[in-house]
Amino acid sequence: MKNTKPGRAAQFFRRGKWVDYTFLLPAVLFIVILMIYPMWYSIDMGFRDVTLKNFVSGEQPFVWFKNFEAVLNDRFFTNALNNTFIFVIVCLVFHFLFGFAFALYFNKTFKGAKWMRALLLIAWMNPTVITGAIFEWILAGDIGILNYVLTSFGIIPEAINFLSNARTALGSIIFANIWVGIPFNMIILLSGLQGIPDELYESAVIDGAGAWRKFRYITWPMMLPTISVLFLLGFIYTFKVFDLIYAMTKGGPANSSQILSYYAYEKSFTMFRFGEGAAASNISFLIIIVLALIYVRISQKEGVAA
Amino acid sequence: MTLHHFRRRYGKALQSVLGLVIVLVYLFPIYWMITSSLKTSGEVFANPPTFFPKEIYWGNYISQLQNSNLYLYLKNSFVISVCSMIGGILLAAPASYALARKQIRGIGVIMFAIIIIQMVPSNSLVLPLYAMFSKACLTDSYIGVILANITSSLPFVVLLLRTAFLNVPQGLEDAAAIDGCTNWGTFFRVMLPLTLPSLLTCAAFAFIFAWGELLYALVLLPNQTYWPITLGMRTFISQYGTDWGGLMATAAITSTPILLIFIFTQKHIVGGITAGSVKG
Repeated sequence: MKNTKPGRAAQFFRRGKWVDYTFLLPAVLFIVILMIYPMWYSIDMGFRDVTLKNFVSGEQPFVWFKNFEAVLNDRFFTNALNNTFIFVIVCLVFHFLFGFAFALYFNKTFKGAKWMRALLLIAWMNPTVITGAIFEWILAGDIGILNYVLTSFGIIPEAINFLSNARTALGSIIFANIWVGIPFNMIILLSGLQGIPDELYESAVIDGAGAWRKFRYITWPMMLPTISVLFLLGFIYTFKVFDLIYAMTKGGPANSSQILSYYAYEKSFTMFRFGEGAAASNISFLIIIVLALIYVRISQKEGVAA
Repeated sequence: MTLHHFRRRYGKALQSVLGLVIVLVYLFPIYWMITSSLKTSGEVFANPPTFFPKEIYWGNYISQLQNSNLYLYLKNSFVISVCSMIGGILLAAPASYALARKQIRGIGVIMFAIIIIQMVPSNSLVLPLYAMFSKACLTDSYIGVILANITSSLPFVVLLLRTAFLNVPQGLEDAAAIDGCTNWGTFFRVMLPLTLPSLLTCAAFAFIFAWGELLYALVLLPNQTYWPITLGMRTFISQYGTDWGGLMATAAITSTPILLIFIFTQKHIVGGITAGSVKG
């Protein structure tokens, strides 16, 4: 023990091993100070009574689970939680269905397939606030194009004010978010499809398999690891959507389109109940961490991740 | 000609046509943004709506460009995005090189932490960052929002660049060491030039993330002087009520840098999305 310790340290400095760590140091410091410490800060704040008065300076009394109790008993929290699950599940289903259909279609080798794929990504790359503004315009009450199309085909009797109607507001945001997420799903699924060896299909054709059987017995099982990872990632990404809601409805009318991310924001930054806001954000943080751990586990097991 | 022959001869062309139709229908919202921005206010409100503008009308753009606030917001967006991009790359590049090539203790823990941290949304970080920055007087400044933006892109960029460094042949590094390059020398003179395409992809991603960012700006910047365009354009909405033509012009102007970057880096970006999110 006495011999190895100074030996190691000497080796570390004399052989210049320490230089290796200088590469890592700035990023690690940044992550610790501006990401890990804030996470701890947020957890801690969830257990303290923090309001506008004692936010910057002053005593922040430790109140155990009072904030969590307050949040869990808040009917707007339950409302936001329900909305979050509707929002996430509907988005994920349609992201996957359209994403997979697009991936299967654009995986073929026709002329222009490559740049068409890339073109579709514009929807995903564009700032979400812009997308929100565009959909606000498309869905606008009396003069929006969607209302024009729906009324002139007689699908709805008269124009609906989609974004200021409590029954359609959340659906409108879901609609916009489905549009945003399709290309991402397509790209991930495409990379999965391209990883399936052609020989599998060739031998299936020799065995006389048709398109459906090829899909059912080769494509689907080979894609399952990618699909499970995609659903987890999709859950995490959809769960944290904020910009679209801010741009389109601000959670309204009457909280009908509020999801957890927006609820936590409102608690902290419009009601200034920082302790409760932190508690609400810790609850969603916990959900995300659990999912992230499952994600790492699955992707390691399936060898999808490095 | 039987159906079979027809499909054989024209099948691929038909697929291309159908593909194009899918793309056009899907991208209709983008088209609608552009056409609406090129219509006179009378035509924007016309019922039935016109699919093509009767004549190209630049008035919306001219009036938006005469708004001095627009320049302020665009300038702020550029400052914030460019600095976030440079800061993110400067931090990430050496770290991802070390993670790819150096024998470092606890590398598994660091990789694991980075993958998990990448999932942490800005919604969870914004409150503690706001508290910390309030105490450090970093709210209402470029620095605070830039630091916050880097938290969104850093883990992603590290993971992406690490894959790039892993793909550089070991021999090149050894040759540089034999020629007397120091550790950092090898990094700057050999590794960075070899991974330039990946670096540019990461820079593009970091810029795009920061350009579209809203939440940090909303919380950390109470004062209009530092607002980026994503935040500033919301003021045009309440200001003009329903000037959709003007709003779509602003939206189109704001999308332009993203579209330009995308056109030039599209091939790499497609690869980057899969590498960054699935392969981790």
